[in-house]
Amino acid sequence: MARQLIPAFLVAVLVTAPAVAARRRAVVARPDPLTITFVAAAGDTVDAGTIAHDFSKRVARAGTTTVTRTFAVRVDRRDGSNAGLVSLRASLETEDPRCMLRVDGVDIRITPATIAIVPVGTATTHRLEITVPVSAEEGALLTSIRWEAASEENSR
Amino acid sequence: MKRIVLTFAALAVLTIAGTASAADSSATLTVTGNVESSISITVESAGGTTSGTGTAAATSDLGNISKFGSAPTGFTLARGASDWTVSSTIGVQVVKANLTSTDYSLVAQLGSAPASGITWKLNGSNLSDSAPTTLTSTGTYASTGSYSWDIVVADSAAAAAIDNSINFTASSN
Repeated sequence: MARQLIPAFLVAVLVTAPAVAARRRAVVARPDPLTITFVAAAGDTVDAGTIAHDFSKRVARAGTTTVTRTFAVRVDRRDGSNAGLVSLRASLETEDPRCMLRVDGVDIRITPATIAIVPVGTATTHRLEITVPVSAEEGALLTSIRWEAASEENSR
Repeated sequence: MKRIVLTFAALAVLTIAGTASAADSSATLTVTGNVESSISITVESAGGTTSGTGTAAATSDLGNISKFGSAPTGFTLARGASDWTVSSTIGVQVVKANLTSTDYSLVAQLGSAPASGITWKLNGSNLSDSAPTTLTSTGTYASTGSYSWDIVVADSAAAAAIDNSINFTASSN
């Protein structure tokens, strides 16, 4: 019985292998099929404004000043088929050692962290916290967050 | 048994094909701002019956005071030949944020002209309402500085309220 099945399996593999390889090549060749847009940020920039310590406030992290801003992100498919879910991940792209960033309560570090799983084609609002220790020197602050979107499997 | 092995092999091929279908993209969000330096001053302690200590607006009530009465709470009373003095201390703290300065200057000035025959002193220096008096030029941040506080009452002064305010101003060096 098994001897009869082996030729059949080999035939099946030979027939499907080129198709699978072609499909794999097709996927790899598809360039960057998702786009990320920051809806509520001016020119992909969030301005925290003036960050001055409020001595009268009791803060969660002693000896720090935290400014909160909200912004919206939308992920679209380039082919217009806005269906399914994507995983949004964020990491520090440019670090300013004087501040710490959190998005939706998640610390942003060099290593990407998952912020949320969001529907494609829908703007979702996120909360950015910029925390500056009182020991940090005054002056202009500049940092950036790299965002990555990846399709959730079987969500389309 | 062989049939099971063949089934697993087919599944493995399909799984690899599925994983290759993920799509991704990236973008950058820039965050800007301006960190501003600041300092804060608080009155930490004072003689008398106090309220608001630990803030920038404390009040001290001495009650009724007289040369031959008892000293107000937190004060001592010294009687002179032609005047008498109630003495205590005032604790002032200055803290900083986002500032490289290592010390600060502190001055004090009366909020209004003292009643006739009444002299207000801090750190041994007379206070006036017209010009600030320097208490220190090398104050240490986050440490409560204690300054002697004297109110000298001439025997000739009229019996009346001596209410006044002392305005402290700290400047980073």
